[in-house]
Amino acid sequence: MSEKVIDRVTSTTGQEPSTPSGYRAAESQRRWARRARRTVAVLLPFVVWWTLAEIANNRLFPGPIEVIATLVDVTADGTIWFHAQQTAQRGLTGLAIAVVGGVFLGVGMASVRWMDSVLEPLVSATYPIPKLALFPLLVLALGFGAESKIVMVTLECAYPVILTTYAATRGVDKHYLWLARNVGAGPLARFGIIMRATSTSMVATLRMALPIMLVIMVVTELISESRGLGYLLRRASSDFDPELTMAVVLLLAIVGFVLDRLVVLLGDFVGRWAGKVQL
Amino acid sequence: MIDAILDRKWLASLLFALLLIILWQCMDVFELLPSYVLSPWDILDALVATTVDGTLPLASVQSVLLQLSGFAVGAIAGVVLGLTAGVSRWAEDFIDPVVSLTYPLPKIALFPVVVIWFGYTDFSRALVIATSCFFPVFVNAYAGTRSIEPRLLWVARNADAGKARIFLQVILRAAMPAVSNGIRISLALSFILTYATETLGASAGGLGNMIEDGFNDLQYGPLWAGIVAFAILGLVADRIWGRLSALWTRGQLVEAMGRV
Repeated sequence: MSEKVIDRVTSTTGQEPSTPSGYRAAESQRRWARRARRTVAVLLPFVVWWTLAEIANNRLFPGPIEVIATLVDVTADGTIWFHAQQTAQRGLTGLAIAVVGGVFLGVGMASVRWMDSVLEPLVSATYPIPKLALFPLLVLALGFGAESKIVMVTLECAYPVILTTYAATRGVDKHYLWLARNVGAGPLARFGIIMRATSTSMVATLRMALPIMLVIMVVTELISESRGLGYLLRRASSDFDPELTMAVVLLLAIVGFVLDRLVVLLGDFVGRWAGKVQL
Repeated sequence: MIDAILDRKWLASLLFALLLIILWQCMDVFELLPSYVLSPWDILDALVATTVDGTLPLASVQSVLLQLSGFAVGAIAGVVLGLTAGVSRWAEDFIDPVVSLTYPLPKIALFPVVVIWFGYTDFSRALVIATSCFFPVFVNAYAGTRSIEPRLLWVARNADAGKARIFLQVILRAAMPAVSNGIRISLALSFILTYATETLGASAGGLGNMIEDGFNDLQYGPLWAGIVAFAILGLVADRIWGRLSALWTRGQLVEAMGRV
């Protein structure tokens, strides 16, 4: 994976070290250069941001240091915890429902004929529709509270889960299932086999659904809520408090990053369990 | 009979959808629906009414212009940077870490920040839509370029093709299915963000504002008309892109990402 396409193209025309030790030295040098460039790449935006903020010297454009200080402040005095917890609770509930329901629907569509015929075209056809536009109706039906948001998250996250589960289940080697049937395995055992064979793509789906969940949570809380990180964002923005606004954005970035890493870790674990390594 | 219907998937699902719609209409006849759920017939009525008085076409045009401008900027930036990061190790080292760090952030969260600087304007909206649309395109273009079959490159090199030629005739074409997939995801995303940004802040115009006004004034006709218009726009855009990308990726295996 690390070899670049053009590098691969040009490597034969470039200078190649003749001895193995020379090759190893060149390789390690190259690796250090890469690491240095990547570190600079991560730090550079912060430096540019800081410099611009210093030049602008404007209350509406705080630098990274002020924003981080604000984030530390609101974390220390506990205000942000309540909102973060509200967002996380609802988002993860919706995501969990979407994953469980989506997996069952996906496996069902892939293995039961009438479900495949009746549901699959409908699901595929409604996939590109922006389901978020239904949010006002959900609010009318379920109110401004947690329920409408959980249902919204479920609705948006279920689609990628259903469709990947469907594709992955159809991709399961039929011989496994025939063999299982041959030795008298019941439907539950066969479901277990499908789960095991598709587990790595499930994790990949989860990785896809996670950012969708965050987007929907933030949007729905921005639209209508009195709690949660989205609400905090809106309030800070309408108070013209850019430091707090950016601090919440920073926190959301951290939360998103941590959740993403957790799913990758889960992927390693599942990959080992399924006897495959992926992600 | 049932077997013959089940064999034709589109027919089976169409019949099922019709059944649902009829059931929906029946529920209205027996007055089982809450006031905010219009019957299919009333929705059709609302669509015609809002089209005749011009509000729906106007709002749709406004929304599409906003969506297209944000989407185009984001998608083009994604393709260009994604391909660059895919073929050049230098570019990769500078772009990839930044993108990986910012990727999991819900980009809509930037909207309140942007609003502080530029207000609730279409510029703020397009900026957030573009930022959101950039990521799926970039990630797919980058991954697509990196995972090119090496044998294709060996053949090209063997045929004494230059760098520019390899890029244009081999890499670009081989990465096309992945790029097209990323663009498809961004296209769906752009409509979600168009709705979200139009709903926030008063006097936005566009379908999002139409839905929001209908919600606030309990005018369920325009509310439903806006929702249906969004659904149709999303579907049509996806179909158009499907057709276009089929032209460019003809004969290639299109990897299904969330699509079958």
